[in-house]
Amino acid sequence: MSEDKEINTALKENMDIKAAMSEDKHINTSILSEEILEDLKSNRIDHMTYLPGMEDIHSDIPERVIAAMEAYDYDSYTASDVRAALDKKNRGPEDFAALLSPAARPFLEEMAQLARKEKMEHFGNSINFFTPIYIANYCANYCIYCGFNCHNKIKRAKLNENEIREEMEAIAATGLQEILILTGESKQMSDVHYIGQAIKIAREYFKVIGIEIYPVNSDEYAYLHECGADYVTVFQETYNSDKYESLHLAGNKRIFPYRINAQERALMGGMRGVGFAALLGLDDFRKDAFATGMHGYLLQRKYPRAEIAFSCPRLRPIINNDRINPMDVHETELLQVVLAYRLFMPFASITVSTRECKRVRDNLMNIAASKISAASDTGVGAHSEKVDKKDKGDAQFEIDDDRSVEEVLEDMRALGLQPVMNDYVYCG
Amino acid sequence: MIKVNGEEMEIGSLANLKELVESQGYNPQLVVCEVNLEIVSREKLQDRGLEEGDEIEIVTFMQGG
Amino acid sequence: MEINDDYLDLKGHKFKSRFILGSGKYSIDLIKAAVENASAEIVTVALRRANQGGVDNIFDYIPKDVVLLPNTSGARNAEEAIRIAHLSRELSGSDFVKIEIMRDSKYLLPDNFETIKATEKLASEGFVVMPYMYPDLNVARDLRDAGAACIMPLAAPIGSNRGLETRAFIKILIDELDLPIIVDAGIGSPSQACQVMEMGASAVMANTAIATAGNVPAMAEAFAQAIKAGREAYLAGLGRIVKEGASASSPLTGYLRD
Repeated sequence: MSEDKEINTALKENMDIKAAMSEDKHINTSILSEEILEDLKSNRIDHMTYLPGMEDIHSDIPERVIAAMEAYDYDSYTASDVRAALDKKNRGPEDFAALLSPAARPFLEEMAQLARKEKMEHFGNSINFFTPIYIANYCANYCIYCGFNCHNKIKRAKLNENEIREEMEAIAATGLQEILILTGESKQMSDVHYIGQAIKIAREYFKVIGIEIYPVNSDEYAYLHECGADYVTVFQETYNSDKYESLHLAGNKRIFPYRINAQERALMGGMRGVGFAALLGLDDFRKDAFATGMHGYLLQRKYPRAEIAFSCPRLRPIINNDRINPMDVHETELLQVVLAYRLFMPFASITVSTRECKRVRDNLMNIAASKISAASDTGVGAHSEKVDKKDKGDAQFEIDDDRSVEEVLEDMRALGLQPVMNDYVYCG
Repeated sequence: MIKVNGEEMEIGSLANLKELVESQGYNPQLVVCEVNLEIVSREKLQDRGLEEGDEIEIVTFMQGG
Repeated sequence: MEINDDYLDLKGHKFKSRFILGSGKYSIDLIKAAVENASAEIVTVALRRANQGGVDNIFDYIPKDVVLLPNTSGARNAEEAIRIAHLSRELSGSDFVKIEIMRDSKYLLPDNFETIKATEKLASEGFVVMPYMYPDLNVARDLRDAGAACIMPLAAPIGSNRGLETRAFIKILIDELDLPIIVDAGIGSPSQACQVMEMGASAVMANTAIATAGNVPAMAEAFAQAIKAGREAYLAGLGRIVKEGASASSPLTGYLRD
């Protein structure tokens, strides 16, 4: 009897998963492998409950972002809503919603012209340069679409201080003055002090330092700011918490509210700017892009001093799954998202990652984006030949633009854009 | 000697604030009194006696933008 | 939004009228007609030393259902404004107060910093604080954080009837703050009042423009109609302006491949 019950329960669970999937129009099946489908059946901790040690700042921002996203019915917008949004000088959330809607599709060229004009007004023809440096790829999270996830069998590595210095020296020699320090999300393998040391070394070589690491508490952000970091980027990946739950099966990252509050904690810790992104292709990209924009918008209103940055990543193939693709987010949709961000928040920094190819990146830089990475590599120890090959780690995802700094500089200049290595100096 | 709206005057036979207000020709319902920077509510006007050196303001609403 | 559900909300107090009428500089016997013609629900008054020999009872001239908004005119710093606010509350029995603090007798420009201090104190005591200010975004944010019920930026020096001289800055306040923005001071004609309402201001406060008009009650009515028209235009969403000279530029989206 009890055995029957267990079997029934198991069957029911499988049916539940299937039912949930058939209802969800935004399942990206390219992510799912047999192994992941099995793991999806296992019990998981509650993704909405903070774990011990995680600071709860009781902010109203997440609630407001989620409410706005849930209320966003993009099919209800019409051409005249888009027209009205385009004609405004200072656009609000309703205009942003219209510009992200399917009704805006026929206006793409006009949006691009306008976005370019807005960008020129705020940034002139300057383009900021930076490069990422991956100092460790150990990760305690199980994010089923990510090459670093703790179940993916890849070569792990963590640079020691000498290796970090060698990497940074090699990067600085290319003329870059801004760096983005990244780690996998393992607080145990790459603790806050280790990251702080890396930032201190970076201070010797660079004028602007950003970090893209696991979310930490506000006092830890304050410490990292003291070490010399000024910008914090945290990708929320998706703002749909149910979908988030089914993509992040284990690790601290699973805790949705802790992650969504990371930018505010960073600002409380004194950081100068924060970056936002949804990983386009994980869920309904219009809703996710809308939530991302609203997140930046509401935080800027709450912390007017905060500099706001958006990234626009689409899903990419990873080691051990070369099928992963961004589902329905084609180049056109990506462009629409970038244009909507620019028209909504003309002053925000917008980065286009090396997930995109040269053609797409250069065009987006020309139209609406303001910041570009060059000589990118998502592997650990990839910049310097001095780092021993056995100490290098595998990449997070496949990049699609491997141009050197010199090449990107040339290409930007050919577009009539002016490369800027840094326009601000850290002063504590 | 007390000061009422900046003008000096003698307490004389006035027993309390209410009598002062009325003696000046004001309707106690239409003014507010402040004695030595403390507001005395309307109901308490007759409980507040007058003391030498009191600085009293009697104010009301006028037209204004 | 439906026009019928459209209210000016000041800390939960809702008003149908978006015209705050000043009562200064004109004969007290015109107030009633002006208030009625303006359909005003809020009228400002000032606190002054009573005149010896009795006072005109301004309450007699203002309809009973109208909210009295005492201002703190005459205050030169936060401390004096707070003192006036306390006396006014005792007299009016209501929590509404318009903070006006001026240290400049020539232009009568408000002192933003003292205004923040007074707002903080009075809001903490439960007042519905309506601060008159020089339109500065940072100050407006500080006033909001101090607990203000709205922000009252000036359009031009008070009493000048010069119109929307601070237009660009008022627009910034409207765009960036979630509080009602009530444009106060300097609005000289109904068309100017209409314009600020079209821009998205929540209400207009006017006094001198009406007080110095040829016919006070008639001008009050003209303002009321202009403010209503401006509000309705704002809610309806203004039509587009066709820009001169279409710019032919090469297409930017030709690169797309999928």
